[in-house]
Amino acid sequence: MIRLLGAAVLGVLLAVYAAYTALAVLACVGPVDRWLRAHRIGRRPIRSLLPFWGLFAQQFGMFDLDVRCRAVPADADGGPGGEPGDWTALTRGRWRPWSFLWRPWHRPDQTGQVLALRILQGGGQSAAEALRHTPGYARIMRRARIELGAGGDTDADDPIEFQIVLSRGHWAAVPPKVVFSSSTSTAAAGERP
Amino acid sequence: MTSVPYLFGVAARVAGAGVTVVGLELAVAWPKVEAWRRGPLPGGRWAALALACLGAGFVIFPELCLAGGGIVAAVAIFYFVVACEPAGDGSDVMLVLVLAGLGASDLMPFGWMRTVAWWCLAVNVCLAYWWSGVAKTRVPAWRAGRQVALALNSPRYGSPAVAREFLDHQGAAKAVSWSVIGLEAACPAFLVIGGPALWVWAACALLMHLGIALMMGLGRFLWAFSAGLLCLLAVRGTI
Repeated sequence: MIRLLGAAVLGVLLAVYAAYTALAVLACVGPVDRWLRAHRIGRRPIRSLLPFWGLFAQQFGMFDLDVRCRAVPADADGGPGGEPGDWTALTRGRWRPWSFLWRPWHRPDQTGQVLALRILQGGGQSAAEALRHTPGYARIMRRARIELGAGGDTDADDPIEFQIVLSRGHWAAVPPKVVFSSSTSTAAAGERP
Repeated sequence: MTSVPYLFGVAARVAGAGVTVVGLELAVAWPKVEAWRRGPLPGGRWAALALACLGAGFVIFPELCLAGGGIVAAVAIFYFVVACEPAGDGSDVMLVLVLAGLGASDLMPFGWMRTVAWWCLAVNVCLAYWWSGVAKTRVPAWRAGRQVALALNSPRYGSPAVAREFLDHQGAAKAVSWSVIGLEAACPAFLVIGGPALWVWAACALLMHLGIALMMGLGRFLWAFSAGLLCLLAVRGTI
């Protein structure tokens, strides 16, 4: 009886694996791919649960984003008061000769870059006010607060700002460029750091 | 050629090394990984360390992976990828697919179930290569070879010396670009042909992953895709 039950459970697992594989193959077909993107399981599109190997053909620029933050001293009224602190990098992992063996900071850096990319795709500086209420924005602020030692509480009134900086690589003639700033009053988008 | 059980054993060891690296890297970087989440995930670092131990177990005792351990590791990595989204990448997906297939190997009670699990694994690995190759042909920068130079020029994914060479010699960059595209897109053809041709193709793919690991610092991809390549050879060897 137990053996039969075990075989049934394994049969279900195998069916899931086979169905997953079949869906992954069918997702190569345009109309199926669109259907999978349009329909959801919970909050996620079905397509997001399947492997997307097209990411290995990503465009230049996606992983050249860096996020940095700083504390902005506030006065008693909550407005800016005094000189802001130095910028602290939230994504700082660079290629090193030993990276092929050991690269633990790759994951947190990638998270920051993808969240930064989502902010830019969501409208960037021109949609800064609307973006304040997105989960990605809140996650960057939480990370910034923890980095600056201010705890993980995401109270919007806390005096912290962050910037997204686009770099053009080792041998680029143009310097890195600020493409998004959470502060509308201080740093302007397009500023050269 | 080498026997199928031996190849699956080596694949389990290689996948185990990959799981160990994933677990250890997660454990070391956990405070920063967790800080990017919406909220804390208590016990995450200890779970990552347990995953690393499980992976080390696969390296020493590959039969542990083949007898269901692979499924446990696959579920654990899948959980981390979902819980820490978007910290996961293609190497995690490949490792999950490989571990799921390997873990089912000795667990399945009937031969036909084992065969289905193995071929699902082979199809997934083959799809990964084919899709990666075809997707690159749709990007103009990949077709022109510029993308290889630009990726290596990125401070995060490239060494300055290699980047300089590719930026200065666009012909070389284009040759590398089309070699990668051709190699990846040809995977299904070589899987069908099988025999020594498939082994030669797999050796070339391994060299490509070695190059990516050394030049771009993406070592986890080397473990995950090497295990996938070994599985591909093993599954084709069952015919």
